[in-house]
Amino acid sequence: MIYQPRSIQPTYKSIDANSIEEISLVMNTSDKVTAYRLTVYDWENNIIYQGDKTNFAVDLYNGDTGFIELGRDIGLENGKDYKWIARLYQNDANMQITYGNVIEPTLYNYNIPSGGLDEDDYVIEVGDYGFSFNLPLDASQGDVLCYDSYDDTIILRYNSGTSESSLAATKITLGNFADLTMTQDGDVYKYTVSSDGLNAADYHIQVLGRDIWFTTLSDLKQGDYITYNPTTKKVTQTYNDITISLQSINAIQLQVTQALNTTTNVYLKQNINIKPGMLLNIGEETKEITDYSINTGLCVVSEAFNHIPTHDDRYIIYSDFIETTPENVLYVRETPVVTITNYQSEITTKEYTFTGSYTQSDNVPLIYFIWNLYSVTENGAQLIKTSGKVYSANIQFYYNGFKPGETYRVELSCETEFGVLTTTRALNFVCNYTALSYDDQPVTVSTEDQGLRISWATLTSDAPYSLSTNQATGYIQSNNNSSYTIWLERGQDIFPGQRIKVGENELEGIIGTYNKNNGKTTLSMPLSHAPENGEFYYIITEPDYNLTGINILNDVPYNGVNSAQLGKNLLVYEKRGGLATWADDYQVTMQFRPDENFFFGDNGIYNDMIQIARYKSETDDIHDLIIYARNYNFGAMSPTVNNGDLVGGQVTQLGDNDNQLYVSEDIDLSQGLRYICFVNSGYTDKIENYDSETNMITLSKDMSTSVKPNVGDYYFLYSAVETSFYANPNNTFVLQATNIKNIYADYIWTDSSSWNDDYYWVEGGTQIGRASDNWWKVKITNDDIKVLEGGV
Amino acid sequence: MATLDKVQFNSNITLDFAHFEKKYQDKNADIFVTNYKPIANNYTRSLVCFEPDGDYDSKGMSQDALGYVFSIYRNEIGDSVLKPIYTTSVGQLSIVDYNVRNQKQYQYYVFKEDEEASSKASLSNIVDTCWWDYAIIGMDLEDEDTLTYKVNPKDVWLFQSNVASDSTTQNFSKTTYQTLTAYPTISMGESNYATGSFSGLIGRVRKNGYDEDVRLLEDWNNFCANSQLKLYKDRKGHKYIVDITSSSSQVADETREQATTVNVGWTQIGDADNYVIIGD
Repeated sequence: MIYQPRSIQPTYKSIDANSIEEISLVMNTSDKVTAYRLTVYDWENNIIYQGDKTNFAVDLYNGDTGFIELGRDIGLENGKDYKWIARLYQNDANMQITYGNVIEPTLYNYNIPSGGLDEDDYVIEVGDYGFSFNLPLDASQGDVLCYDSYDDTIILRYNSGTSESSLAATKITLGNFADLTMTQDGDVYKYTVSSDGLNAADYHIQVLGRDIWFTTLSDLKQGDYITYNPTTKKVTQTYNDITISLQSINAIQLQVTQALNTTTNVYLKQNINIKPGMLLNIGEETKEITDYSINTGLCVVSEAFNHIPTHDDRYIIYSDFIETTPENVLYVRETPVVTITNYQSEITTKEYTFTGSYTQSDNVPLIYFIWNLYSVTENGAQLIKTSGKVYSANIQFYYNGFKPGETYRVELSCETEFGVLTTTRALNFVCNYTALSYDDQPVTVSTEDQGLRISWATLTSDAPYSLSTNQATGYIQSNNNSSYTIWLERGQDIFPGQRIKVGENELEGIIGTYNKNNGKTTLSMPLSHAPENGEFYYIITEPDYNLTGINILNDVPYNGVNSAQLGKNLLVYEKRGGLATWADDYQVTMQFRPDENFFFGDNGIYNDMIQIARYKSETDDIHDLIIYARNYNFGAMSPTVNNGDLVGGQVTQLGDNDNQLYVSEDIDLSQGLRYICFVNSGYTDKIENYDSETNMITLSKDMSTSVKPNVGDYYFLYSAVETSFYANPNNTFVLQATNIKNIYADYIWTDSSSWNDDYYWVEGGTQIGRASDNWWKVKITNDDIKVLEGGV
Repeated sequence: MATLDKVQFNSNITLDFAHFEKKYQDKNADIFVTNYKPIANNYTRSLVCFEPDGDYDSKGMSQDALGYVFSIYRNEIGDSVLKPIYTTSVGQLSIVDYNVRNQKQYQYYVFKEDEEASSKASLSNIVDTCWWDYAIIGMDLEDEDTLTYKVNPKDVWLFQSNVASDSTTQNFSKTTYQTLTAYPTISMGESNYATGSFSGLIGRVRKNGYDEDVRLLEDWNNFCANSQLKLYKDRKGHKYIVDITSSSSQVADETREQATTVNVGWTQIGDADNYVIIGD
């Protein structure tokens, strides 16, 4: 048995008449499908193609897909719509299509001829009766008017018998009407009553092919008459010159043919599934059906039965095929042309915008497009980017990321309203431009948390050197010093090129010559001013990459870390071209321990402000960060900058006090701590107060004569952040039994204490005891500093 | 661009470390913790510390990387596919790729790019993955289009001890229909996902012994209950995008450490190969 196939393609998808296309169907069968026959109709249901019965390449079983070629011989044209049906055959005609009893036809049929039948009144005469009816609409050739004598009904069958409508009929007993012969009298037809008179009765006339039945209203005598006007279709009687219209039935007679069973023509129940080519079985005989009318049920067989089938005969329709139903629609449209309009075999940029075009000759609109971009290597093509479906007519695709020396492939697909997807030929192209230089090898390491860390920028690594501050030290030996010539102690190991620092402000110069015998020293780089007799000096040695004199302390301040005890050495990291890039938003973190004599510096002189570390750029003067300790605070300062320029000015006047002077520019202390640095001497001190009316600044302490600036000298400002490592300073000396300072508490001499010669005077609560010999963790950012005790 | 040319530490101090970094959101390490030891990271400009092997150098970021972005691709050795992982932001030096299997070899291709051009690929070393732990890694969505997820290290849960995995079930929907022929018809849905479970101690064995803070189980339970997507990786090399569907715990009362074993049920909700899972 073959059932209606499923998954019929194409469905809602067009085909191109210029291409060899095909229909596919998935078979539903309990046997096998072996052949097909294709019929194609135009949109007006005219058959434009009917093929021969054609075998499938292989027998198709249930679930198999069969293909029916739509060749050019069918005559399909692009831009038009069609319908098709297909017969699917099995080997044996054993499919039972339908069955029933032969119909004793009670039908009288009138087949509408060519030209059709106009809307009008008609009559069918069968036996003693006539049945008049109104045809409300024009009927077409092929339609059938059918009178069923079984129930005196009239039916119009149309649409190839698939539709029917009942027509109301008036039954006329023909024998009750006497015939009258009319004669033409001008425009009308007339019957003049003879001397015999005419009784009131039913009469029938026939004029110009129409039959008219009417009833007179009274007896008519000689000279009276009956008229019929073919134009108005009215019948009148005139009696004693009084004319009265008569009701009538006026219709055209249709000659019907009675349906009769014969040995070759057998009437069956109407069934849409009965087709020519099937087999009609009655009793022991089976004949091929050559024609079947769904309108009338008339089945014509190729060979005569041995007897005329009657109502007592049971029939069965067998078939070896079914026809697909309903009709399938076939949209025929030319395949669109899709192109990449700006394809190049070589691109020379990292980014590129592809553009495409879509043209279709039957004005079928574009629904969406897709771009696919591939990377092509020896291993094949790998999709790297797709646009996805873009529902737009602006066919473009942008990609940024082409690598030099690589090969790529691009393709564009467009789908039409009818589901036709057209893809361009895949086009390869290369990308060539000057590649960025990148020589580092990325490093991949496995992490403990099941990841792989990929590092692609190598950290630079720069070794330090130390500068000893203890090689040669001493005190200035003369009052006759200048900034270029100074007198040092004799007999020291001092050499040209070495740096010397002098005085509490550590004026710096470079040794030009040194006379070991008398100590006279000339400076190739002079001091900022002449030193005074007795000022401390020390020589900074050449860079020592062996870090001689610096002790490495293992597991200090705690296990797993080491520390460097610098002692009388500077530790310097320096590199032409930079150790690294400067970070404008920075965070500096440190853990360190000031030595006991930290606040006495290298010159042995106590200073309330000592530098701890300095980060400096040689690129300019603004990238400079100094980390220091001052009084009870740790702090960090960097040059104050406004729009990339140093903020500074000139000294306009010295003040009356040694900690006061007047400057040329306004200073805004509301933005934070400010320090002033005098360019000539390098002297730096905190600005405690600024009088905006007088431009007078007050420093934290008096300036010595050697460092005091002159009028006109330049200065610049530092911005600083500070925080105290000890909140409640209380400089207290305490008499106590031990000489051990307790830095974590204030000392109090209580009334209960007593004098003891063995007691010690111990400094308590001083900044030195608090900061020195203790570990500190410091975190510094552009606008903040945080300090906590470290070492843990 | 300004450079850091000189760093000087003055005399009379003992220095443990000094670290000059680019400040970046909250990514910089917190030094105010016990036994803090600094590590060079993506933001380091100069790190000075004194290693036991005698390395006292200042470590700083190479200028070659500044101002560029880097496109990272991953290749699993034996597979011809180069999978794009990530394109970094300017100044970023490294990432961690979590979406890798155990017992595999990987190599990364890195391209340096600016707005105008790209470099040729620079290949990393080949690395073998070999981890003992089972892992559940929570992650947060960073880019929906590329299915890129970010991992916070605190959302990485590793199970190291007493790990036992139950069978993994592959779930798919297939329905059998009897027909009039000799053979049935099978209809198939789209479902195809795994479910499974495993158990293990929630703490870790460290130098000083078994370490399991009492709050760890609470943190684990909260982690299971949250809405994060999770990556499950086992010792064999399987990896799934999962959600935790159940978790139970049992304290080993007989042990001094009161070690807690958790039993974790998971359900696969995605194909890990479609995701990018990275960390800083």
